[in-house]
Amino acid sequence: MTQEGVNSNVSLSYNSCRFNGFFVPLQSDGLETIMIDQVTLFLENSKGRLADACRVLADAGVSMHTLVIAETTDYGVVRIITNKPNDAINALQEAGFRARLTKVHALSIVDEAGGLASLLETFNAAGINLEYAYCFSTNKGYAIDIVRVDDPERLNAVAAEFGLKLLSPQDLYEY
Amino acid sequence: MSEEKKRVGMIGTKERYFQPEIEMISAGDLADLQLKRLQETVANCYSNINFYKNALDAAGISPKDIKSLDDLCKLPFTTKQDMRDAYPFDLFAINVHDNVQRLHASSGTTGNATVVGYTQQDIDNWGDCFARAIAQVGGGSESILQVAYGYGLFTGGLGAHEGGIRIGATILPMSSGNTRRQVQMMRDFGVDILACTPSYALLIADTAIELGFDPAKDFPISGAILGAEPCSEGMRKEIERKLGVTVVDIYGLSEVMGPGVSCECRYQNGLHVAEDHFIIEIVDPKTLLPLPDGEWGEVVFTTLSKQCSPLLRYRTRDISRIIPGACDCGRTLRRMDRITGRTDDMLIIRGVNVFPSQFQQVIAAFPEVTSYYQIILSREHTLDKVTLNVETVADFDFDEIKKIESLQHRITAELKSNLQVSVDVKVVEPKSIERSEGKAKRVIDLR
Repeated sequence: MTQEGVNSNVSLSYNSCRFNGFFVPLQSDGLETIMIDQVTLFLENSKGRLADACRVLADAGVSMHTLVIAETTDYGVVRIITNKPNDAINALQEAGFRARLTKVHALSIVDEAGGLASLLETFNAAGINLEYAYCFSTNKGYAIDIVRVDDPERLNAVAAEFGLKLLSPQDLYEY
Repeated sequence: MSEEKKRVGMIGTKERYFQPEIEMISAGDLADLQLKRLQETVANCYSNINFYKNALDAAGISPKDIKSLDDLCKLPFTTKQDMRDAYPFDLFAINVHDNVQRLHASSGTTGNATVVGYTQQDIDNWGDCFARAIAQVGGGSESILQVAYGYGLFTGGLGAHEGGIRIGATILPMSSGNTRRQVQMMRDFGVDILACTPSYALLIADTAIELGFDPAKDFPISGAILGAEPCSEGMRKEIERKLGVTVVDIYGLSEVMGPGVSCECRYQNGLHVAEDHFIIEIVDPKTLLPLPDGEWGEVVFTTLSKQCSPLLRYRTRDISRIIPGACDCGRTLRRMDRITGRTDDMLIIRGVNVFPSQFQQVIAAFPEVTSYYQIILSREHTLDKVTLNVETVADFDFDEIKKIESLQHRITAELKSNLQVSVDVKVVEPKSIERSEGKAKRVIDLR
């Protein structure tokens, strides 16, 4: 999928995240692939289904950092970042939902104008294609960009080369 | 458009017959004709088709035991499976390289297609049967007949075409599809009679109306011969109103011949069976014993004139009955009622015969989905719409929508190539397809 293809899909999440910022040049963790667990949930487009899923997560004591929905006519794919991904999966599966863990990258950038543009230009130049992306702001002046790319190894190398901050699960949950 | 022209097919105008000597044959003459032809058919089957020789030997019957029509019930049945097993030519009484003019085949269901061969005589007889239908809806040699059944292995298109030839009509061999063009030619050429499936007739009518025409007033068309799929009475009325036609229901199946085995007259009260070419029996589907006129059961046909592909007591799986009594149209050929159901789970989708097991076979080849599936049949505009609900297996990576879409597209393509039916594949949540204790409800028919 091209970046153009993705951008239209995720524009809503970007807009709603007041995303601004430049990269925060933090220390790189070398070439080791640093990825986090995202909870992916398959939902039919039927009344109350998302509410049901959220209630299951609430009852399991799972708090969400962010939740985005990629919707089609018949179904939606819900992507959730939480600090308890395994608990979330177990609770959802037990309640009969189709949920699974997906490895994605989390990048930390400064919450300022131009941050995302620069990041995507870097991806473009490196030949990395986005499958999808979304982001959320923290209350500490950082934004976190979640991406799934076609070539995770390459993203890791690019992150090391350009000093992009890839967040580990531990990093992420401190926000 | 002249009122007179429009009224051709309507009751109140003079009844037309294509072969009055047959269509109004006396009961005694018909019985004599049927017995003579039955004896010839059984002899033909016994001498030229190993399957029947073995079946008759096993039943302890020889052709000379057929002394009256009552002896028919001594003959063994033939099933669709027998025809599949005979693929391709084992049920032919003639070597395919000799006098066989044409081959037709029904949709390749589970396994082999059923293949039927026709000599020139078989095709002429078939044409005669369909020509009677043209007369029954008020047509004749002066009529322009638009054939919008598919032409090909399917018997609809060419069956109607042969009928047009036999009655001397002007044939417009449109085949199905390109609906705007169908409308344009129906109008520009002044078509009198339309032959196609009921759902397609309704689509043609709706398309004409969308294009700003009122075919009921503006087009000369006065009759429609519709078959190959069920047509509710409401749908018939809608087509009649929108096109300004009399609709007659025509019945037939490729195994037995094709469209024209029976057809309604303008009184629309049962389908006159071409009893000179076929013996109809209604049997109890459980005991297989013949039922008296008026009682519902499975329709069984024995062909009387077919040279290449004769059939003894072919079980159609269709449920109908013989309508007792005489018909106001003057024909003496008995009437069967419209088909009310099947004794198996066959579905008719846009005229194509499909079994749920065929869906099962296709999705079994996809490891991404479970064996739970549900087929939902509905109508979109006027055409049948098929939705197949599938569940993905637990470890299917649905995180990227393109993977779900790719799966849907691949299943759709496979169904299209195997079943000749366009299916909308929907991925649904696990367990949303009902798990039933007994026989799963695989098909929901909302039509």
